[in-house]
Amino acid sequence: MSIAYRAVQWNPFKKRHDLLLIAGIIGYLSLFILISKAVRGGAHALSDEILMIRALGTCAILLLHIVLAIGPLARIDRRFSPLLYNRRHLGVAAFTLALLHALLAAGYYHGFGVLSPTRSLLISSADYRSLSGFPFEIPGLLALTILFFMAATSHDFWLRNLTPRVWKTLHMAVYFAYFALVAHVALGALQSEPNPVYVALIGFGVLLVAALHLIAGRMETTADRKSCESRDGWIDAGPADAIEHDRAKTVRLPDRRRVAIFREGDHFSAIGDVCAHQGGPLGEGRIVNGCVTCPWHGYQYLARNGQSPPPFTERIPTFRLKLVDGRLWLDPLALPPGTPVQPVRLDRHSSECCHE
Amino acid sequence: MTASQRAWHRWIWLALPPAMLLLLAVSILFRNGAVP
Repeated sequence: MSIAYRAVQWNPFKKRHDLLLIAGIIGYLSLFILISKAVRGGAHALSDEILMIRALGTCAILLLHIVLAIGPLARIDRRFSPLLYNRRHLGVAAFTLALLHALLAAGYYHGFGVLSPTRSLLISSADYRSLSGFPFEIPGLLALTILFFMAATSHDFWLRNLTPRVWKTLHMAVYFAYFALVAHVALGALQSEPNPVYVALIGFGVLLVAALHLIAGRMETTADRKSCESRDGWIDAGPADAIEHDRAKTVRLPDRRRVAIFREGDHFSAIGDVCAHQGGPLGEGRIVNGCVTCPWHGYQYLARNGQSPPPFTERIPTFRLKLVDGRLWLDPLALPPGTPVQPVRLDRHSSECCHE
Repeated sequence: MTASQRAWHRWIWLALPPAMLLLLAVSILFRNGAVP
């Protein structure tokens, strides 16, 4: 969080993460080229330019798979949540590698004719009736364009100006970029490359990413279905003791919105589940130094009023709670963002509701 | 994510995997115009 404009809010975690990322990319490119040279020698040897084109392309695809896997992994297991914090840097790195791959390929395969490389790339192999002759460059260019818009708007400046809702919707286009990228590989490299390892790798990647999303989606649907009996307009949120200390239980309202009920000691407060920054799931976060902390980028709120601690100004809706016989009951009517609500306290002797 | 974004997200991931697997299968089976 920051109240002043900064190009990148560097901190030791981000620096370590980015150094590791750069080292990983350099290591991957070097290993790919070395192994390819060792495996394909003699008459089957590929030129250094082709090896670099392939190394950059495969590295971009690998990074995109990692980016796409982080979201569902964090929903399946909280231990992966820290990876969400700097996911945007991974996405920008994937775009940069894809751009280098495209520039090098366009220059190498289309840069020495009478046509300009761009024109040659778009019209030279356009046989739409054949799989092997299909212009696979088109889906590649589509994926690159989507990744460009995502990388260009990845900064919080755009998040704030586009509004989190529009920004997140725009960035969900990454799934279409992924589909276009798979089409680019299937209609391009897989048509000319006889090595089954490439088929196996891309197939495994698609299955893994798809399976993770489907498992995470299934878990969320199952959790949503468990909610919730209602009585006199209040929703039964279950036994208070079932919520871990400094954690939350997420309850789905009949209108599909979610509410996060946080426990701090024996005090319980309910706030909207959607972070004001980027729509992160606050209910999957925890209380750090007395503040509810979003698992995505660390934005913080006070559970008792839905307000970010001063000098920050973010606000989210709050909800009223009551405790009856050790069970929490939630009023589904959202209070205006930032409205203070007294936490309810679990009295261990009588298991009764107490407002402080 | 908002409720509508979550709903979109689910629909996208119900549609994408079969579409991608179909694309991969067709591109491999009919590689270079070959009919299996």
